[in-house]
Amino acid sequence: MNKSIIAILAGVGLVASQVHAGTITISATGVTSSPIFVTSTLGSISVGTELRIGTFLNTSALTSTINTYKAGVTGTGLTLADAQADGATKKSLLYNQTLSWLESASNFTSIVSGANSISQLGTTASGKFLFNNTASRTVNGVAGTYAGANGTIDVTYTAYGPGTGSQLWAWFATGTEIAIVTDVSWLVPGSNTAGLTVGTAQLVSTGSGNASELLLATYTDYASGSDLISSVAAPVTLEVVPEPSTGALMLIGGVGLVALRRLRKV
Amino acid sequence: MKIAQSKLMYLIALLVITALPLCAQTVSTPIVGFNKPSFPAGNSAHTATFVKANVFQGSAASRTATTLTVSSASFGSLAPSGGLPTHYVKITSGPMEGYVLDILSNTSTSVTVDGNLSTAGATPSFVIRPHVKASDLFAGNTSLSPGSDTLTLFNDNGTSTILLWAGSDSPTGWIDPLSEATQDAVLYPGQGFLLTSQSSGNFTSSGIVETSPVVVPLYPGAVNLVTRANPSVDPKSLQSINLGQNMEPGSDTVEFFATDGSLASAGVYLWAGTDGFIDALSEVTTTATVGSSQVLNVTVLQPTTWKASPPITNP
Repeated sequence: MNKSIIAILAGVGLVASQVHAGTITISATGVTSSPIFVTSTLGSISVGTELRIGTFLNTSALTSTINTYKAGVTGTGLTLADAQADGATKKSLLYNQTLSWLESASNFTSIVSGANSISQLGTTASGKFLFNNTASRTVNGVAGTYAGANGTIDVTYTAYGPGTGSQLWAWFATGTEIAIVTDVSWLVPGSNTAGLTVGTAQLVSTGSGNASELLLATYTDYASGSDLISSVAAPVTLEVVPEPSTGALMLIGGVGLVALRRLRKV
Repeated sequence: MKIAQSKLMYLIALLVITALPLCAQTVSTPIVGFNKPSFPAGNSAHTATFVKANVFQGSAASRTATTLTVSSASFGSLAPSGGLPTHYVKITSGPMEGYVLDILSNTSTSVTVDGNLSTAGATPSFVIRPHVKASDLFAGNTSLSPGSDTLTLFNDNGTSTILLWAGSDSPTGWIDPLSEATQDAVLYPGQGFLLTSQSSGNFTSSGIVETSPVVVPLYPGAVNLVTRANPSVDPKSLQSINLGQNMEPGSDTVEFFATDGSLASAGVYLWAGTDGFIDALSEVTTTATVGSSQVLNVTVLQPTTWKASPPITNP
């Protein structure tokens, strides 16, 4: 065959060689005694909770957002009950603000929503990757039922917005708490034939969590069975502020006491 | 002393005469062995370089489009188990020499295969072997990370089958990443697989050395990981391994992978018919060599096959 004809046809072959996609395997169920995602009270995540996987476009802004969340809020009030109520309101506001920032397309690109297909059993939702099933897992010698997220997503890495080689993060929000984790190996492959695993088994390092990879999460390391990685609630500091009128009464009382002492001296 | 010397010479002569008829007979024993391929952290492509020993070797007395009958045989159970074929027929003579067909069922004297034997000749010779499976290569492996490392096989319809390493938590070492049920997979002769691992390591392939050609199917719209599956260190020119014979000039390609864990493309060569494989970018005829167990990704526009030469051939 004439080489120039081959050259024209070569494009066809090259295009054909690039149509396939890679597979990302997600394993966050505690299988093989790998860590389990839980709430801050070490309870199961609700089935149906979305596990987001993708790239944060500005890591310093992410750090700032996480630090603001970790700093928490101060609930103030005239009474303890008032302070608690105010704290709850502010905490909810901070949670929603943080969630809004994390979800914003300006800050986060989901590799799941751009996937060619998603394969999960159990509870599923189109275009999303969910905590899809529960399983019995043993934690520190005690069996319990925990929700987990597992399955595969078919991705054309070379079409991924942030690009091949981008870092991936996994995060979820429970309605009141948030967890954000990553792993050094969670890099979008450069070859569409390659595979990648995003799994909690990778979030351990010689028996304990690698703190730098648990951006917003708490690792509980047990001697046996699965370890736990819990989501974090924004901390609330309470400050009870007395009423001005009460203060004024105390001031008057104080003045009265001073006057009484002076009269006795005379 | 002289008497003793002549007795010795007589004894040697007797041994030589006795040995001569033995030399005239063909005594064929399979070449067995093992190797321990290493893998880097990240993505790498591998193959099973050995096959399992024959459980039958002979010729069919008769055949239909899907069955082979051997009147004198006494086959045990060769049927699929656990959703996977356990044995395969490999045709070793005639027009379909090298074809590998899964056994769907059998009687004591016949086997029914998954495929079409219509062009196999009247009485093809064939062998029956157990399949090599993923569990065979990684049994007891300590290099892989449970819950993290995966093995991927690319299917003929463009999909892939993923196995997640579970170590001692699974009888086969592998589980389905979706259902988390025990899983295994057949590794067909000449087929490559993808390993995605957290850390570097190795696995063990053992068995017998293939001695007859293998026909490797190539599917359009699919990742076709193929290999010469030769356990010895024996690089060959890409132009010399017969890969292009049934490929479509000007469209079908073969891709080499980097072996550093990235699986990055290390060269794409276009089949150019009489010009052989040419570099897809420079159009220069390539002098690339293919390692003995190197895995290549072949892209074809039409279904076809590659008849791969065996590592060794029977005399």
